[in-house]
Amino acid sequence: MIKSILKYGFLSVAIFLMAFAPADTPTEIVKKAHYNVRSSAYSMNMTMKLVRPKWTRELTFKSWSKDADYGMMVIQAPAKDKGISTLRIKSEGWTWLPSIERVTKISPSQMSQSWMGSDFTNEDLLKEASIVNDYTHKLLGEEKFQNVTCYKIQATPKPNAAVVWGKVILWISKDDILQRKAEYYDEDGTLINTLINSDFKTVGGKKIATTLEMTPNNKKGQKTILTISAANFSEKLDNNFFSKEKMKTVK
Amino acid sequence: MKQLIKLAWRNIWRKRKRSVIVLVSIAFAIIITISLRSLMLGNGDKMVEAGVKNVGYIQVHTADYWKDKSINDLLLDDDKLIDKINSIEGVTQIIPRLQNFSLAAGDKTSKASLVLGIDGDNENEFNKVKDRIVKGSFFTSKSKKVVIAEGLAKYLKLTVGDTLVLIGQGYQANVAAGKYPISGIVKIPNPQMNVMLVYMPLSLAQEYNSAFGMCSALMLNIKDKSQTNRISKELKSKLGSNYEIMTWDEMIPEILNGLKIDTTIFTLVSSCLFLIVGFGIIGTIIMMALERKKEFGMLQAIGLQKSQIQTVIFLESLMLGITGIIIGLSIAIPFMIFMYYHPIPLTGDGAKSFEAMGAEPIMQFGIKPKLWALMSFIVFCIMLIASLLPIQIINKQKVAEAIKR
Repeated sequence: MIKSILKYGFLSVAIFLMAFAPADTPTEIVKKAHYNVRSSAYSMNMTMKLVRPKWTRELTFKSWSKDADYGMMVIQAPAKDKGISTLRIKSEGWTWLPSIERVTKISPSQMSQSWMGSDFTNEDLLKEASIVNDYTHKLLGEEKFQNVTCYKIQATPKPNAAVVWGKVILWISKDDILQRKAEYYDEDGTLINTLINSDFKTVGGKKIATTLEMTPNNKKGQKTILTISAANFSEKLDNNFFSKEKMKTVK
Repeated sequence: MKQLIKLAWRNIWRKRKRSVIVLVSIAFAIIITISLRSLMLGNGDKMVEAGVKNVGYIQVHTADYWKDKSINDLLLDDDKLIDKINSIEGVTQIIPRLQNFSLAAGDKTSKASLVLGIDGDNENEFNKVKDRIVKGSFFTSKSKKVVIAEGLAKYLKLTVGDTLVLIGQGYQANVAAGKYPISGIVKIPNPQMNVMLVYMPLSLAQEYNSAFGMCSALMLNIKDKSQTNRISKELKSKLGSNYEIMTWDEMIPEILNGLKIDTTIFTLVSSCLFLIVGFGIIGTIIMMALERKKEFGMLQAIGLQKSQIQTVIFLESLMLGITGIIIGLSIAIPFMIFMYYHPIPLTGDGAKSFEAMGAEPIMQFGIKPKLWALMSFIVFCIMLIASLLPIQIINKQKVAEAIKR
């Protein structure tokens, strides 16, 4: 009798606890979504297409990343821009321009400026874990985006975070926790950019969005499409790889 | 009639003081207004000339270039376009330019700069840019060297022979970056430009910006300045809506606005002057008429018609007016011509403000025959209006009353 009371008692407590077990907090969802498409060290081959009302331009580049603190990108095509590399260590960035044989530091004010004339800012491409660490997150609800049920999460920058956005709204799919859409707002709450992730495929062992489309809100006929052609999520990278010396020779 | 003219002539000489007063006021009005306006117009012309040296009389761009001056809105510098422009009468020179903003860097410092790709010889023929060199020499069109402004060189601590590093965004988001030896340093009068201008051979600028065979503007020199609008209109109809045609006054409206302010000031000042002089003349003439009332009556009594007396009075005004104008002009015109060739040099802050606009620091008088004619005409009209008053007095007066006095 006592046994069964204990037994059911435990069971009911367990059921009670399960029912009230906190679901993932918004921060955890964002974190999961972030790390679902990354690993501790990985590389990606990408093509960036700039679409402008009167012209388009394509850039092919490769990027490496390690522990969210280190990043390196190098342009492989077109020939004229080949060898231009960007290095990131924590929140600092540098650019190597072979034609002038100089490493220039990316100043904080340049963080919000466009990378290689695209609609992606230096911050978008460099400050990778920023959306997890520099923002506080609030679940706004659930919303369908392209027929996928998503968490709609608002990210607001922490008081002292050095970020350029006033707020970011993220759509993260509920079943596979992948970011589907993001809207970037400035300090006045005006929509600046919309990022839409699509073409989810398994690349290098992970299901990731292979097309990222950044569309500025106020510039008609203008967008940037980033396509991931290959990825390796089990790279073995030494910290020395992310150095100013290495960025001059990386290919 | 001959007799009436003789009478009028004698009347003028009868009261010399009065005549002299009228003559002096007329001549004075003419000399003052012409001098003032000639100075304004002369300086205005000088400003326009200095402005035009920078932008040309007319510029041809690709549509919508001027608003953003974007490196992406370029036009192809091809023979077909050049031929089309050249076929318009009055165009004497086509000067291509490619301009873009970049970061210029020396060893330690960097600064925003305006990189201007120019066809050195062609440009020099128009605005003598090579004369501005203060150190080193100008590049040749095929060289890979640059010429930078004095202020920029000072800021970046660079001199002839050093290397200037330029970083920017080129045509269609291409990376524009390069290092170029400095072949010379120029002094640009405009202080703002003097700290940011980098001249580059056109072909090198095209390479730097990845804009091969392209330019941002074709600057036109024309034979006759007054034909600017006609040529601009012809260009517009010939080239169509894919091109933007701008005249100097559209590109540098601040000069035209300055000239408009000058015109307003002059209109006000000259109106006041003419008002004062005009009332002076009218006053003198009324005095003359009233004082000669008895004389008019006598003339009528001995058989002259009212209209004949009126003609005499009118002739008197006419003679005085014309003589006054001739005296005024004969002083003003030689004076203007002398001042035109001997402008007043300026010093101090005044000189600096002139130099800032790229103009020589001198007070330049202009030779403006149209102005001379206009001022003479206005004074002449004042005399005519003034002569109406004694004519009216004669009309009203009764012979008997006039003689009795």
